[in-house]
Amino acid sequence: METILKVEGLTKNYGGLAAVAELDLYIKRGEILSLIGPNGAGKTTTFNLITGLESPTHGKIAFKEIGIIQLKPHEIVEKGIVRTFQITRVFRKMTLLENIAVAQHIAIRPGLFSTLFSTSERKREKKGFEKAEEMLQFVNLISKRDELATNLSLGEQKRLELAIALSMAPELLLLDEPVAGMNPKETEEIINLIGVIRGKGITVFLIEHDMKMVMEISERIIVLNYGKKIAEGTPEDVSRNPSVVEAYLGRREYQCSN
Amino acid sequence: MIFLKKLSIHLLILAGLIYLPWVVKNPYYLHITIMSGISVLLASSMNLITGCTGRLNLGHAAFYGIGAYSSTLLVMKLGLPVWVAMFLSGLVTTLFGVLIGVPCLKLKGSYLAITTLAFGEITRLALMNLVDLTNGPLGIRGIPGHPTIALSNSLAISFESKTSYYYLLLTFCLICLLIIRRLLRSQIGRTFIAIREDEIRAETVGIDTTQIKIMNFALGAFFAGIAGSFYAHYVRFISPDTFTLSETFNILTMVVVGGLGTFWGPILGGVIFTFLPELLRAIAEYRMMIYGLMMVVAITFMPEGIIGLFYSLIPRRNGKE
Repeated sequence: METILKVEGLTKNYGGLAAVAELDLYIKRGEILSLIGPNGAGKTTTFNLITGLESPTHGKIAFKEIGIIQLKPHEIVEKGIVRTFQITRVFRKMTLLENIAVAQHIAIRPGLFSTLFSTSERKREKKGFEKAEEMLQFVNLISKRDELATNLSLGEQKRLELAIALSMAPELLLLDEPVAGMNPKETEEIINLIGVIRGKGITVFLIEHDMKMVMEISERIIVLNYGKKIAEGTPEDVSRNPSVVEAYLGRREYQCSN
Repeated sequence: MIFLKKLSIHLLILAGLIYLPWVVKNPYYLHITIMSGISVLLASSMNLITGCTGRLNLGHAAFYGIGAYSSTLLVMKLGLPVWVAMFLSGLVTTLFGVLIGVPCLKLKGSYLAITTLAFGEITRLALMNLVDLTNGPLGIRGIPGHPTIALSNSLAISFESKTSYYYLLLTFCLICLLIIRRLLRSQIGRTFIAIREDEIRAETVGIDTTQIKIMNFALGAFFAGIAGSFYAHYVRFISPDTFTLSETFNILTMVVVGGLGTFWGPILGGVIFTFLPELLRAIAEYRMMIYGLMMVVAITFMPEGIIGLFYSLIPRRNGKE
C-alpha cells in the first residue's frame, strides 16, 4: 500500500517547551491510524502542524510525496487533507445547509465577476447545496437543515463537523476527538459512520481518548507523551507495551484493581 | 407561492418609489429622499465590511470622501465626462480599499478599528492640506452636475430638477443593491459570514481568507466611492468637513440599528437616519444624545437591529415549523 502521509523529525517548540519533538510517522492509504496520549502530549499540535494552522520549528511533512510545510491551510485542504476540531467549530450563525455549502468553496471556485454574471457559477453553487443535503442525510441531520448550527446539541454539532469535513471529499481525514463528550449511543453512531467513511476509501487519522473506540477501530496506534512517540503498533502491541501502560493506560489498571 | 408573494411585495415597493415624486412635491423633502438614497448606499457598503465579515471599519467616510474628490478632480482637472468619472472614482476608491485592506489583513477587533480610524483621519487631513489639489478646507465649488443624456433629437433626459435626480439615484441604488444582494446570497457572501464566524475554521474549509478579506474591503470601498461621486455631482460642493469620523459613526449607526449583516437592515437604517435628524431639527443640540441612546437600546434589546426584530415578529419564512 502506498504511503499517503509521511512525517519526519517534526518538532514544534513553544519557547523552551517542545510540544512535539522529533516525531516520525507514516500513514498508508486506506488505513485507520490513531494518535493517543495523555492531555498535553502534543496530539492536537501535531494535527495543527499537518493542516498548516501552525508552522513547525523544523521537520518535514509530505503528502503523497510532496512537501506541504510551506502551504497555507486552505491550500492543504485543496491537496486533500481535511480535519475536524476537538471543540466543535461549526459556523454558528449559519444554517446547517449553509455550513456545508460554504465548505464547497474549492469546488465552486467563486470569482467576483462570475458571481455576478455567470450562470455556471450559480449551477456550481446549487450543486453545493445538493451536496450539503446529501451529507446531512448521511449524518442523519437532514431534518434540521434550516436550523442555525448554534441550536444543535454537542453530539449533533460533532456530526455536522463530520459532514462538513466529508463534503470536501478528502483523501486523508483528520478527526480530533470525534466522540469527546458524547454518550454511548452517540459514540456508537460515530463509530458506524467512521466505518462507512473508511469503506469509501478515505484514510482516517484519529485522535481519541475513548480507548474502547480506539482499540475497536484502529489498525495501528501511535502513543505520544510529552511530545515524543513512546510506542507504535497494532492495538494489541500497544496495550501490552509497559511504557504505554505506565504513561496512559495505567489509570485503567488502577481502576480495575479497585 | 412564497416566491410570488415576495415578488409582489418587491414590485409594490418599487412602484411606490417610482410614484413618490408625484406625492412629494416639496423639493426639500425630495432632497432629503435623495440624501437618504446616498445613505442607503453608504450603509450597505459598510455593512459588507462591518456587518457581513464582522470587521469594524472606522474609516468608511474616507472611502466616501475619496470617491467624491476623485470624481470631482477627474471631471474638473482632467475634463473627463461625469459618467466616466463616476465609474473611475469607484475604481480609484477600490484601489484605496485594497491599499488599506492589505496591511489590515492580520488585524481584527479594536486593532482593526484603530487602524482604519487612523486611515480615515489621514485621508481627511490629506484633503485639508493638499490645497493645490483639493482647495483645502474651503472645499470645491461649482462641480458640474450629471450632463443631459440625449436619447434622440427631440427626447433628452436632463438632470436639472430634483425629480430627475431622484430617478437617477433610484436607478443607481437599485443596480448597486441588486449587485450587493446577489453577492450576499452567493458563495462569496457565505465566505464573508464564515470569516466573521470563525476565520481559522474558514481557512480549513478551503477558503483563501486573505483573498476574500481584500475583496471584501475593495467591494465596500467601491460602493462607498460611487456614493461619494454621486454626492459630489448632486450637491456640487464638497469639503473635507463632510467626510469626517462623525460621518463614519453616522453610517455605523444606520448599519447597527438597521440590522448588522442583513440586506434590508442598512437600507432601513439609511432611510431612517437621514430623515430622523431632519425631524429632530428643532432639538438639534440633543441629536447626538438621542443617537447614542438609540444605539444602546438597539444593541441591548435588538442585537439584529430593526430588521431582526421585524423578522422575529413574522412567522418563520421557510414555513417548516
